Amino acid sequence: MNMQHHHAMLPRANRDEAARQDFVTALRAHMGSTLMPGNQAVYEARTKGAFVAEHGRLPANRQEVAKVMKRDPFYQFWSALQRVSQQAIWDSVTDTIERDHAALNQAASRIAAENPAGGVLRLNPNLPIPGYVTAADIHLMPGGYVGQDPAEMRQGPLYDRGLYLYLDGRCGPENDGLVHLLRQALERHSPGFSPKRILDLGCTIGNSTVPWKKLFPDAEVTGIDVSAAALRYAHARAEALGVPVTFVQANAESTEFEPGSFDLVTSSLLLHETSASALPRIFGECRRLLAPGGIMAHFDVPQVRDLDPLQAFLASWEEENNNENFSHLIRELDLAVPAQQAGWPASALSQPTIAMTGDVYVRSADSPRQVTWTVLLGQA
Amino acid sequence: MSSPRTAKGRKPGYFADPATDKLLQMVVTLAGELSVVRDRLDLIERLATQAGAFDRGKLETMQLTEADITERDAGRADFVARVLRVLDQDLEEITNPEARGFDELVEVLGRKD
Repeated sequence: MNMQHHHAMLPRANRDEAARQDFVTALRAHMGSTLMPGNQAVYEARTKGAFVAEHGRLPANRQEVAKVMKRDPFYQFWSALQRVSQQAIWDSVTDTIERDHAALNQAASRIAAENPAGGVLRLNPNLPIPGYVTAADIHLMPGGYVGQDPAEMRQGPLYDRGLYLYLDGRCGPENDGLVHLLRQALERHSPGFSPKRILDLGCTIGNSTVPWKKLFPDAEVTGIDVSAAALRYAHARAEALGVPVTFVQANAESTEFEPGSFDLVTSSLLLHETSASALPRIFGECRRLLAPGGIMAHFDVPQVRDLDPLQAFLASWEEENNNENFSHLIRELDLAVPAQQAGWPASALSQPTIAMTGDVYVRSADSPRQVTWTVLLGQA
Repeated sequence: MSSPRTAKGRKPGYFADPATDKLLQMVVTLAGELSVVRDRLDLIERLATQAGAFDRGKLETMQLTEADITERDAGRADFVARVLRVLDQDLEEITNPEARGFDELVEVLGRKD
């Protein structure tokens, strides 16, 4: 089923490419609904007992669960298939982009020239790219966010379509569902809050930047990212969607905006792709950029602090196998700690609970897991 | 410039024998390609049926032209390359000095001679 919004910048799969994408979607849906729960069954029936036989007690943490699960043939196949299917997502979209990148570049140039929505793109070729972005290709996306050629934008369409396939559309036709969840938390925290200047950190293709402009049409909305390829695409994509946004190539750890330039500084799934040393710098930069009364609002991967060792082990799969190298640290971290290191008073911070809900993130009732997202709000 | 096909970063193995990891990748790719063909065949049969032109007997008796054969050969070659792409990744590790360690390089060179 292909429900993604076919804006003018989305790569157009031909019949066979679309069939490959449909296959990988079907494969992953089967793995999620049928094979993933099998890990629990295998743990209860086989591996837990094996651990007890060896150690005379139950596994105490995810590392101990890992030792026995990684020896189990069912887990081995599940994990290997998970990896193979992740690679197959990118391969299936790369086929389209390889065939069609000249047309995509032409469309981008035409849209940039016409600039129908009136948005702005400002690149900085001298910006140093942080090591956590280039050390590994996050999510196994070949070429990573930055890509091989700084003049190209093909990492953008690759990510837009690949992300939709990865999520099986659960973030909506424009991959923007997370912002609506974050908005709910913001509205509960400060009813009626209506920011006039919004900054979205680590915005990649702008899928979480555009919806802020739609939610607050009178606001000036800016997205920053270190990747020129992602921003070129983000600009063309936002223009194709008819939403005026300013995209600037900058690092969230240290920007060139004036102090107090924004009423809302936000990020969606950025933090777990940075590093332990970057976190306090990002929170410090948020503090510097916010006007009095302004709010920072960060949304990130689900917490595992309250999960049992098996679920924590399964949640760590992305870190070890999908190049989300910092994700498990975030899952176990109290984000208030680096925020306070950056000078935020504890009284200004809150971490509201957002659980997966049926109306925004999960399209169908196919996920029995109830997860709690990592959310950090801070009011200047 | 062509797009990279391999992600930079950890390359975890899942089975005791690394060959099993590669075989699984081939099997999944084959299953995907079979699924693509089934989809395509299904479309063709539906179109042909709609047009009143579907006739199973013609599959056996149809005469292919030179151009038909060339096109079908190219399609088959692409199919085989796609299924065996996992082995290209091995070759890439041999030819890309950043992708593997020095010891491995020495070992590989020794094996080839």
